[in-house]
Amino acid sequence: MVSDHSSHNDYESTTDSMPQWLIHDENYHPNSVKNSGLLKSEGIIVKLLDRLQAESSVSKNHRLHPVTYLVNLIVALFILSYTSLVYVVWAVGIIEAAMLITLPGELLIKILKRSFWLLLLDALVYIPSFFLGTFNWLFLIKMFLILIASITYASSTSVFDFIIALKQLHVPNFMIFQFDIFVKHLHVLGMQLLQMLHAVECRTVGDSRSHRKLWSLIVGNLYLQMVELGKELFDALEARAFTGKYAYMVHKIKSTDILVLCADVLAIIAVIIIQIH
Amino acid sequence: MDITENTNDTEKLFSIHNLTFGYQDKNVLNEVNFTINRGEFVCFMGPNGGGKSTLLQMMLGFLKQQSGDIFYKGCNVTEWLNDPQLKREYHQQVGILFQNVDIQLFNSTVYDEIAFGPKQMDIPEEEIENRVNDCLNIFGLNHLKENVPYHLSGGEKREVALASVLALNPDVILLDEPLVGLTYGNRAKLLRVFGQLNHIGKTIIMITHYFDQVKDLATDYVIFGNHDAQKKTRAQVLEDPELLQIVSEY
Ligand SMILES: Nc1ncnc2c1ncn2[C@@H]1O[C@H](COP(=O)(O)OP(=O)(O)O)[C@@H](O)[C@H]1O
Ligand SMILES: [Mg+2]
Repeated sequence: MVSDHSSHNDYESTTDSMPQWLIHDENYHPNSVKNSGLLKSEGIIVKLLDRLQAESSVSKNHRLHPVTYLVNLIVALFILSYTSLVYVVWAVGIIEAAMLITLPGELLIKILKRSFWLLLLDALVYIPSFFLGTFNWLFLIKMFLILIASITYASSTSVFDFIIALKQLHVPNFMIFQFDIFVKHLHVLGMQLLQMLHAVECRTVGDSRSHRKLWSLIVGNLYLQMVELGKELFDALEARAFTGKYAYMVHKIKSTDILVLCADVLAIIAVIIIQIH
Repeated sequence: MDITENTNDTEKLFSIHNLTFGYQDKNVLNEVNFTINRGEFVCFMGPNGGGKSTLLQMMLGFLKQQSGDIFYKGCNVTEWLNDPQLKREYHQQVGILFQNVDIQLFNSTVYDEIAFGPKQMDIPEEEIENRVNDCLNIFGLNHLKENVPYHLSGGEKREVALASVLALNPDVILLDEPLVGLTYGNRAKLLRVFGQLNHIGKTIIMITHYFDQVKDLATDYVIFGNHDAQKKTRAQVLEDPELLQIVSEY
């Protein structure tokens, strides 16, 4: 065994000091093993990471200004929760459908699929009220439209879009800064988690013990790194002379944006007036 | 289970065939071909961003090439990794030290860290203990046995991570820039261990930029650059002034 390194200058002469088991081939053949469940989560993490990094999936030419998308979402959510009139809900539904068709086909299918599953989940929770006699179709439809609006927003805009929108809506810089750091944090952390899972996988050579224990070890390690990372990230931003101000980000407001925004304002006014009468 | 028994040429450990890979629209490796044989000490050298780490990731199945194949002992790595049992065999035989050591230490003591692999291998408890102690000895880490890996110094972390890989008794050891951030003395210490491991028959594949310090150990080089990777023997590199110039600059 090599116990004193300073005395070994010629590696060949110390070969016999390597342990015997390390010199012989291991000839290891694992017993039948079930595939480790730990790494099933890998796919989800990769997807989330892509999402955080991604540019918006809607092509540049078709896109409205990030603010328009955000205002649209807020207006739709407001109207849907505010109104109790069937035809207003239908009107929102038709407008949403119209917005959806302008999106690329792939994205459209993805959005509808997600909304459908979420709605199903929702409906399941809502089933008891059907038997209690408090069932309300309008509520279910409103739920569905809210889901579609939110998912459309989340699927068609990127995190960058959201930050730009916040900025242009004059949300205070320190809040945007917090959010920005949070997102960067999440991204780096996600990468770390993925690499950690890979490292665990590389040393999983048999039936690993309890997954729960392994996960708690991984999460603990991740937490320690997160704390350190937070400090480093802040220092790095400060070192770049980041004062907490976001520079103007180039995004032109098109005439379609103004049109849509005007329509939003009119819609809100109209809905409030109709509701009051 | 053994998927390699009907291949006559088991001296070939890794064969890379027409391997092409790119991230999104960025081409990294283009039609790369080379073979790594049992017992070699191969250094991957090349510019930053040359695709060295990317290739290791593909050899471990964490990235999927656009085209081409990677064979290990005559069988496609995809085949090794698709079967749960072979996959574990593969991970026992092919050890890896990642560039970022923080991500590969996840146990609460150095002892547990090193014992993590052997504990899964049906090895009797006392032999596990022997193995862990042997691995600690190789790096002179005995006094850190009960420490928390997370709080060790960068150099110690790397040694613990290496010890955890050695505890699996792998045939091949992949090392992604194991010398970065160490003092000259610590680099020499690690290289001495790598040399010993190679001498007892382990195949070493090491990404590194320290040509001067590895040139007495390396038997072969794979030189990355321009989306390509070319394998050269030690003699080819040492005798070619132009090549020598290139590798000393990496
Ligand atoms: N996850 C990734 N996404 C996009 N590009 C990447 C990613 N990882 C590495 N790259 C790029 O691929 C190239 C090769 O990277 P890498 O294999 O890490 O190089 P090396 O290890 O030789 O320094 C670099 O240009 C790097 O910027
Ligand atoms: Mg690298």
